[in-house]
Amino acid sequence: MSGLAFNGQPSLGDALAIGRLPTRNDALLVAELRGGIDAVARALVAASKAEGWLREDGGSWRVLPDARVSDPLRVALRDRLAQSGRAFGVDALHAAALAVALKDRDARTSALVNAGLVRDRAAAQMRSIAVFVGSDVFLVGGILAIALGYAKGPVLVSAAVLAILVGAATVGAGMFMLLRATRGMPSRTALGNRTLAWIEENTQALAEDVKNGMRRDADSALLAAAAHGA
Amino acid sequence: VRAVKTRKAAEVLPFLPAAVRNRLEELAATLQKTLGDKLHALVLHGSAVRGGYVAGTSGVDVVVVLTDDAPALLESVGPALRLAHAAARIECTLLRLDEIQRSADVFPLLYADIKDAHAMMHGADPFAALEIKSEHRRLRIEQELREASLSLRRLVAYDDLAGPALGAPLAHLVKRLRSPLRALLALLGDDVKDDHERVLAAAGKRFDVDTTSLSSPAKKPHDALIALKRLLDAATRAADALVVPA
Repeated sequence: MSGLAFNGQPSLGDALAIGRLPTRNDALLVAELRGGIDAVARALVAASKAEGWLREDGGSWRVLPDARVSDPLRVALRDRLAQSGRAFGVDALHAAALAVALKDRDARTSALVNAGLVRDRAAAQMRSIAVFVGSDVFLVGGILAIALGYAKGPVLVSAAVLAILVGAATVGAGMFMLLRATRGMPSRTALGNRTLAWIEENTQALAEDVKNGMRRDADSALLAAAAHGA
Repeated sequence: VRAVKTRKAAEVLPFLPAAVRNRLEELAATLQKTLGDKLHALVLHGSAVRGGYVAGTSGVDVVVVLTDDAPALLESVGPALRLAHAAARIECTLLRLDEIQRSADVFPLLYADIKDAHAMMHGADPFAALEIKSEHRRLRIEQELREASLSLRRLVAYDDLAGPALGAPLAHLVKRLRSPLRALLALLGDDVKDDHERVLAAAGKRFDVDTTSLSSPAKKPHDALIALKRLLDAATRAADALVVPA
């Protein structure tokens, strides 16, 4: 069952729109849009704390085994944390939340891409590969040019160093782009930025109420953390 | 008998923050457009009208009076209500016009609060001629005080809160007591101005409880917890023993 679903209700990417408050089904899409996988993991933790089954005790965390958990992703998080023993640290908690958040990431990203809120990751990968190949050609071309004797003496050394530095930097940039495209947060479109700004503005009161303890239910905590961070 | 203040929203809205005011006006426009003639009235009440509204903390209370409560109609306004709540703490109570007088026996304090201080945002005033009986008030006062005691016990026993974390839920509980305490004081003959701090101080004086810590429970949550329990016990005993004319 997809983690995008809640009580059997399918969630649609086009549910995130200016003028429409995201429902609990859409909260993880908001987190994904705002801060990628890390924001999704933190939103899951915030909702789990609000639901009452995840507790912090003097710097360590524990799970109440028999507590009611209402969402499939949070059930997965509880089960994963239960394997960590009776008490665990914040690093173990974050790692478990990240692992669970990864489960439905492709579905969330597809929904956001289809809604025009983030750029297509496949296209980003193609751009990364093009940069990667281009940098290789540049590097190999520079080395070949030096080897063929277009330059001599100190100029030869400078050209070689320059070619290596520029080539290495380009390869680094290509690798960074490839990593970002495959593991990091897809980049938001202008519509994605406007939509996120609208959601943040219109959940301001909700987020303040969650922060100061006036709203303590899991749905409010989830949406507040998704839109504003935990 | 208190004077009934029926005001127009235009008298009240300028005192609210611009962002909240805009949200209220947007909500009113959306409800009028979506509900058409099924919307009888929009009534603003609570601290926004009574006084004591605190920007960034207080909710804005609105009664939406409908002539029809068909589920499809309610669903159609759901997104606008949720948005107003999340964006500006606008809390709407949905009432059907024909149930207001008939439900005055079970909601006497809510209706008395609304009747005392409200502002019309749209339509005709459904609370102007409302009758509320003293015995219904007494029963409801006792019920709300006893419910607050149950909530307090649950908070202490179940919620595993300590220190500063206890402050916010305690403050929420104390806030809930303004209406029943003021109504109780009124039945006991103390006419107190409808202001949270004054009601607390007057109740403390009447029931011999130091309520200083209840003004800001986050500062001394343990003291506030003890004071709240004493106040609830004393006020509940008084409400229970009160004899009012039918």
